[in-house]
Amino acid sequence: MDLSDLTARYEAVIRGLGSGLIITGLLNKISFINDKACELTGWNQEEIVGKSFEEIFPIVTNDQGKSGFSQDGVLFQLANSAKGTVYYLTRKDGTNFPAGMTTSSIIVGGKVAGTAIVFSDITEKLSAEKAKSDFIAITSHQLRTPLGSMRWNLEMLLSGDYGQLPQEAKIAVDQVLENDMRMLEMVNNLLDVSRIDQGRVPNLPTSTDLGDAVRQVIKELDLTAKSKAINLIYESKTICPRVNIDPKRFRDVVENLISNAVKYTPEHGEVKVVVDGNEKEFNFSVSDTGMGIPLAEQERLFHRFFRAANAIKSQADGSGLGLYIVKSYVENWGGKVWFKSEEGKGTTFYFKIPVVLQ
Amino acid sequence: MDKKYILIAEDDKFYTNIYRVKMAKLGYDVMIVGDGSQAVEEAKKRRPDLILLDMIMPVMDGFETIKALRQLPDLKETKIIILSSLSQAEDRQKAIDLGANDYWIKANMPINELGDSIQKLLA
Repeated sequence: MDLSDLTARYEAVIRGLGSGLIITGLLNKISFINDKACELTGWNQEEIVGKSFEEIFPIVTNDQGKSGFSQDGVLFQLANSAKGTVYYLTRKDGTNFPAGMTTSSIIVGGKVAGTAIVFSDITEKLSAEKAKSDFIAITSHQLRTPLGSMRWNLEMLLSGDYGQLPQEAKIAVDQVLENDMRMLEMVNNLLDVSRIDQGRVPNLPTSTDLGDAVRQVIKELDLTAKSKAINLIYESKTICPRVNIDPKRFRDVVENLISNAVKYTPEHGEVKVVVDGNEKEFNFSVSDTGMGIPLAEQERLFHRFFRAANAIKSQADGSGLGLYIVKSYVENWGGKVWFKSEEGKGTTFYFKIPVVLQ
Repeated sequence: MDKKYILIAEDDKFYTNIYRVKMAKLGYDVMIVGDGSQAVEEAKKRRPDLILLDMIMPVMDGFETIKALRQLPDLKETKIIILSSLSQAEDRQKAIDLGANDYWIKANMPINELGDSIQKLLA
């Protein structure tokens, strides 16, 4: 294939491309813009070729930055953008549109000689996502109202506010209550997920004693652990730091991890919680002697709605939302969550978060 | 000693029934109305020791009701609690800023905790 042949092929690809394409050279100077990119931005070839990309297309995001250009002035950085970040490109008339962008470096003789930027207008995609999140939020609220009044009525039936129930009826009401609580938890998780997806995780930080918060969760889960004869152990290596954090979110994270450990550990097993902190970071781990996570499924563990095959088989309840919520919150605090697991032996989950000084 | 008087604005018939039975069990006098404007009218007639407000109600919602109640000279110090199914942090903050003493989420607290919290407030 000779050069003119190759050029003809590339030209056909670029013409047929349904996305905008802009190619920059050294110092981010625009060297090419295709027809679709002209249509999307309102600029034409003559007006912008030779100008700097940043000058024509200042990057605007919905969360104040984290994007921009690398030090060498060439590579366009999108890779480490925060989850939920939306990039906007500015049209010639000054209006913006949300752009889905991918970039790749043009390497010539081992050096970066420019960047190819491919983009499309994702207005419709975003509005579909918003409609989905809104739907989840609205239905969840609609469900929570009746589930909540059922809860209170059932609790009142059990505590004798409507008169004493026969023993058999008490057992039945208790089971209905358990189901009601399960649905409430699911609805609460769905609401949390829809907030995470919209980048609207509620955050009401206050000075929180993290060791205290963990002990509180353990106390609440102790009864469940005892009912399975599981030894639930707490170990604090140092005095835990106070951290300026949303206590409810922190509790959600710890509760999810410990209750998972208890849930997936068979009777007479052991669950051990270890906390450790210094002036820089807070470390948490929870180890169990449970069923473990199959190696092939470990990669997908933090995905939404994902549940490992052996977890589903175990008949333990779960929505597949808990770990997704855990990961979102921990990363939101600038922390990290990970695990080590061996199928049939057990799992240890870890997370660490930086200590923000009071 | 006179019974403490609790005024409740709630439009959901299921919650209404729960409040009526539970508050009587706890030994309180209770008046339940279906929206915020009626709550304001009732509060003018007899000063409540505690006011519980739902958030989403016809005619006058929880936010507007807090505002209206706090303008009544007799009710500057009366405890007002929002009892809502909504759990948005912004709603909570807005209610507190308008003068609510606290914001409780219905579905997330056991009924006995509701009873205990009310008893503590009125002690």
